[in-house]
Amino acid sequence: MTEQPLLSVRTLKKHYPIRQGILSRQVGAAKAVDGISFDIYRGETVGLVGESGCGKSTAATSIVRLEDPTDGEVVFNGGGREDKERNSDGTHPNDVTKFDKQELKAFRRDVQMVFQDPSSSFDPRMSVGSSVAEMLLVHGMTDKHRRRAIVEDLLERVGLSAEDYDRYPHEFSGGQKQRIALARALVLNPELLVADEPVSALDVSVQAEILSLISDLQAEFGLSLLLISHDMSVIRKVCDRVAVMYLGEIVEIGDTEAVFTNPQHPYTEALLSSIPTPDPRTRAEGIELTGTVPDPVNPPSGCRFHTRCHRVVQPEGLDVEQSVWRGLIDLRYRVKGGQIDVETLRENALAAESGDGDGVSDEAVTAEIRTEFDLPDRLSDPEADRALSEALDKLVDGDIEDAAELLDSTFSTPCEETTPDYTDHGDGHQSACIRHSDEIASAELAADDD
Amino acid sequence: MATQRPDRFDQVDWDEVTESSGFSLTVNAKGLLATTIPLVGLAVYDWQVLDKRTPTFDALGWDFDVPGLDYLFAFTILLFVFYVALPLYQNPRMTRYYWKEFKRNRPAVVSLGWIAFVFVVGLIGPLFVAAPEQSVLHSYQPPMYLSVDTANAGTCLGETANGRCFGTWQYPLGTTRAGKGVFAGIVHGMTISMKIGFIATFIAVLFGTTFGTVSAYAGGWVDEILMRYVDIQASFPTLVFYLLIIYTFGGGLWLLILLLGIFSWEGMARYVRSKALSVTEEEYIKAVKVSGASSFRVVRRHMVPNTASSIITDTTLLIPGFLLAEAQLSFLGLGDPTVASWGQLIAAGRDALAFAPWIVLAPGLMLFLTILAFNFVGDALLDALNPEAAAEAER
Ligand code: SF4
Repeated sequence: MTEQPLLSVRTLKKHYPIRQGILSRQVGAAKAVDGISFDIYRGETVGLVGESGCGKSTAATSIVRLEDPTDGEVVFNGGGREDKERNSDGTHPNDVTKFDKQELKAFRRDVQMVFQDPSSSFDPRMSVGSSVAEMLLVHGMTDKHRRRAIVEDLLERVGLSAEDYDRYPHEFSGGQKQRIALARALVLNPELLVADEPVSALDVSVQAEILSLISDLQAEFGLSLLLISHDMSVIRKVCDRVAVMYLGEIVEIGDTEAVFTNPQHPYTEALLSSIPTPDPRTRAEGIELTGTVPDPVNPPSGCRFHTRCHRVVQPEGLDVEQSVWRGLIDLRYRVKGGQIDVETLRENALAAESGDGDGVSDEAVTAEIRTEFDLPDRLSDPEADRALSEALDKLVDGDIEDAAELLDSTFSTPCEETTPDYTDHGDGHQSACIRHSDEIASAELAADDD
Repeated sequence: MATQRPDRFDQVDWDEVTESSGFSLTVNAKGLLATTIPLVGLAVYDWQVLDKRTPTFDALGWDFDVPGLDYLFAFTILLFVFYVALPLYQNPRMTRYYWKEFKRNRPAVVSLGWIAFVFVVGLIGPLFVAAPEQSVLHSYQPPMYLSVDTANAGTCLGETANGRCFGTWQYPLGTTRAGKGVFAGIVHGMTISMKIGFIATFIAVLFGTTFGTVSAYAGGWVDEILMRYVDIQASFPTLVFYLLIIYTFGGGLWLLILLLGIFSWEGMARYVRSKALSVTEEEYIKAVKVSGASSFRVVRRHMVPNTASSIITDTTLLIPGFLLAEAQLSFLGLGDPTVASWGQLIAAGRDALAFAPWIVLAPGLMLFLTILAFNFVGDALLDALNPEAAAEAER
């Protein structure tokens, strides 16, 4: 393995403009991928993992230039382009995003892609053989018999037979189609394969077969692989290194073993806790990820994960239980978003009190809110409790803005103020969480000591 | 040989291959070109060299003139042969699959037989059956085995008994008032129906697919303009326009076909566009793009074939519409009186319905059966040409 990575992605961004009105003025952008960087070395498998909507598929299509990235560079050092130096103006001669037509066409041979949905990844009106052979034709192989020979040979290598050449996609099962999709991706003899959720549409038993086929092919032909998946167990099976993506950013990256046994970012912990592991020592404590991925048009400030993070840091001077703190932040965002309907709560409280006629007291409603957000009747920190009570009273009075303001000023977290930098945990294992930055880490330690 | 040109994907020398890349035509395109060029040549020769009255094949001593419309007709048939019939032969596996699906619908199979019959007879029938000719003496001859009051018939050609005139083999289906044979009229009417069907459909498909695929592929303001134009045309009062044109230029078959074709593709354009839009989202389009294929290739090889099912099924609805429109206009006396279409025949018989109903009934039945047949076939094609729907049902 040379020191030079086959592919290095640097601060890659893909923003989708949001346009409105007749003149299509751009009013914002969905930041699907917002500055990700990682390397893939020869023969290596790198996983890109995250929930749906975190931008991992967009990252893939931007890397292979199915879509033009907004910013950043993708340096591809394969295809006989090794050992190039940077140009004097700082650009890289191997930057895929700047390739001209001819370079791009050559690049298309060196990097291929496997897609998620086997049912739509083949033209239903073409025999699968011709679909695979079309790749050869596109790159100028006009000899029909040679195309056929190559494809037949390849079909056999992926576990099908040469006779399958003339069959149509509807005649195959999902797993078989995914084998053919692999054949199609391999037929141009690429150096890098980008597989976007290659097994997520398949049955679990078939998944294992396809994954082992991928590993075999990879070993035999020295492929590098970028595997995109939402499934941590798939990643663990095949990947050498893994990058965890959240809302367009990589929050943790490192060797698969290191990331799985010693996750540093709370998001990774949460993802890991969702997979069943046979090893009791590594079992995480069932962290539940609440809510959905926030809108990439307006990502949360600071650490983008702070709206859902179970370890979200408490501000200096505040000391409540972590689950309570999480509840407070949730409450704060719900109030801010105007998502708390006092009237409904009042009715619920009324029903609970089995209605003695003329309405319920405001106390009953605030109690209802506290239960909903898992907050105790009285916070352990008296100052915080005073602020909370006041805010809840205002909320019940219908003074939502004031309530939100008060909550905002009292229960703000350092996580929303500082954008975390990457912290190195050794061996290229990095994560982006402010808990690892020095002051916070020591403060937490101090808090734990009590 | 084996070492020189290894047939394994990982041993291809791509530098060598890409250099040798050349331009190649498919068999279909070659066939179409090879047959169209002489056709165009003949048309140009007919138009430029020969004067109006000389028959096209005069030089060969053959007294056969090709009317202008027939060149277009011939071209559409060639298109049909090379891009509908030949591909079916080239992809036997797919054809068998379609046929298997299509066969499930019995009435559609019978209907297809009927359409094929009309097609063949329409194509070669006129070579054997002379065009119906006016002959005043032979007016209102009854069909074979039927009789008519001698008072109504002209000179009775068959036997007369009890004051009734019986039919003869000379006019198996009787004659009209002008003494034109109904049988000959029906055979030649098939040809006319075919011309209407093929040419008007060709025009409609040409516009419909172009507008539809370009709209879908280009998107943005191109899409906006094209589709707004389609909206405008869809709300255009075609009949009024047609009447206007007839009063200005006279109602030739040419004009009728042209108008039918030009003012009927709005639905197809919308249909093709929506289908093409859904096709662009498919992963196989992405896969082809990742391989570096050109936009033209993507549209030509993947988008058009995959919208073809919409085009074909829509066509089977358009054709009966055309045939019916021609019949209606003819019935109203707005058709081309010089052509022997079914509509003209029906129009010719409308006054004599009381005593000579065959003049209306025979072509009317033909029209009815043909339209019904297209509807049945369209239905079955819709099911058969949609492997995605079938695949979904399997899941
Ligand atoms: S920075 Fe804060 S919110 Fe973000 S992951 Fe770390 S603890 Fe959670």
